[in-house]
Amino acid sequence: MELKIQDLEKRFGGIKALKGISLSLLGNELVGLIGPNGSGKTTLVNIIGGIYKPDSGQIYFNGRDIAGLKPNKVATEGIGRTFQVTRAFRRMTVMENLLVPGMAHDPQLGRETWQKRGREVLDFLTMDHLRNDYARSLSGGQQKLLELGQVLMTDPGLILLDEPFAGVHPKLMETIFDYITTLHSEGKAFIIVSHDMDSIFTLSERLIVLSYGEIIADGDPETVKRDEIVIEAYLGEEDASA
Amino acid sequence: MSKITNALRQPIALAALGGLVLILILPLFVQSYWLHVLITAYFYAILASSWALLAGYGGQFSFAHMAFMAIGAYVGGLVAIHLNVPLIASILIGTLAAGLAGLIIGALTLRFKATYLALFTIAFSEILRITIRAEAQITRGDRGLKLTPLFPDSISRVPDYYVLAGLLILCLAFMYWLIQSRVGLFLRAIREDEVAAAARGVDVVRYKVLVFVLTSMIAGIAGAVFANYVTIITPNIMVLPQMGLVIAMAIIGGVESLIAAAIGAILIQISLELLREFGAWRMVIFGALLIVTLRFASSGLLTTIFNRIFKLGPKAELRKGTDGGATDDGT
Repeated sequence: MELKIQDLEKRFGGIKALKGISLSLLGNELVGLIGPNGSGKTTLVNIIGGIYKPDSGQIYFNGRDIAGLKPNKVATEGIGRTFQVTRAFRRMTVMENLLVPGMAHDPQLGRETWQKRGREVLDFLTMDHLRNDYARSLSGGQQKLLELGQVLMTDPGLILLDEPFAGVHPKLMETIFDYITTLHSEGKAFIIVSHDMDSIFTLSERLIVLSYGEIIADGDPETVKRDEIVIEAYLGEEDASA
Repeated sequence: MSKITNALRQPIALAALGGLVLILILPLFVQSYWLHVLITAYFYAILASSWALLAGYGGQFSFAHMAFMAIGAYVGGLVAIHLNVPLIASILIGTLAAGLAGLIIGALTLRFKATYLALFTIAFSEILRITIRAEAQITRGDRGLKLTPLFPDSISRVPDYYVLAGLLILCLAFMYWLIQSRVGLFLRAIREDEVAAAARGVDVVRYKVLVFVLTSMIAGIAGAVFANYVTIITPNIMVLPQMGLVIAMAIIGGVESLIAAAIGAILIQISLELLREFGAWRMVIFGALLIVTLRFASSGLLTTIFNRIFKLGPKAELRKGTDGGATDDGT
């Protein structure tokens, strides 16, 4: 897996949300993307995922320029994502939620093959007993797991997780943490947006910090933690004085 | 064979089979006038169920369904009259014209939210209706376009009955097959959340336009066939209250169930006929029924009743040991 972003810019009206973002990921890196509210984290994820078109700049994924491709094309290229606020298909069953990405990815494989894959994914997430329940009947945390399951159906090379720990009770947070670690050890690359500092600092091999649409730090968590610009811009005076 | 035997053990399959047999044998017991009522009911059943596919599954609340029906009827009629095209070919041309119109309108309204889609399609329907009225030299305007009967040599309505009943069954079978396929799965995902569906790899544009075209064609063929049955088509068939009637039929039956929408349309059309002596009051009763449905059974009166009788729902699927497929047609 190789992701290379060059000079990415995005404006919303008069506000410049991203100002010339450049970064690259290689292999199965597990990257945390942090920054204060409004720093452009979700905008960056939405541009990589195809929901927004960049005003300028390139995104190369495994050598192909995917900047501006529609979300379904980005998914086909091998990038899966979850959303900050869970967007499972609420009036569809858990299994149907999993069948959607499968059947969209390769309908020729047939429903039975994708159901089988769905069962494997649900086994991994220990959710198989819920496969015939409507998504709307699941808890918020279970819906987050279901979204992760949707992403895993097509075995993408890069997974973008937007706030995977938000609103999840501590036990389930641990579970999600473990799943990410396991998947990473199996070769998956991640970009994880999170406000949960403990988890993201523990989980990430590399942290990228955004502030006002710019990358202000990029490195291993320990280095980033001590970076004065980060402390001032993001962690605040309390941590700076600690 | 054992699959068929097993299927017939399901109450819903038995009910469907019973309904099918009833439709086939009704002409043996029913007078000609009531055959006409049933033919009209089947016409509305095709429209209500195809609108349910568009709105209930596709999430596209269009008011142009009667306009596509009228395009099928008028184009079919016009090519038959002016170009001497044979009956069946004229119906097919009308159907294709409705599909082409659906393609254009579907593509134009792709990114519209529900309210704007409703307003756009109302405007389109009204423009079309006024154009048909104004172009009286071609369309005969309010006097109506006279068409060849489906069976010119028959004095009985029985052949017409079977044509409309057959068309209804074919349309329902096609739509049922469609919603059981991946298209139905994707449509429901798009209805739930377009952005999420796209992020999961669904080509949202493609499937939204596809359902618009297919349901327009179904409305078109219903219009073309029904117009040749009544042998006249006027712009009045596409006034807004007619569209409202189709929508109400689908909602009372159940907008997320094709069968319920079709049965809803049939029962309401028959009820309207039975309540004819009440004059305008029957529309008041009908309106009140719609309000009650929206307030207390938003998934449809009939759907709610069916779910109670057949105990449908995701847990029912679990009992059947299947893997998460939608029950009935999506309930």
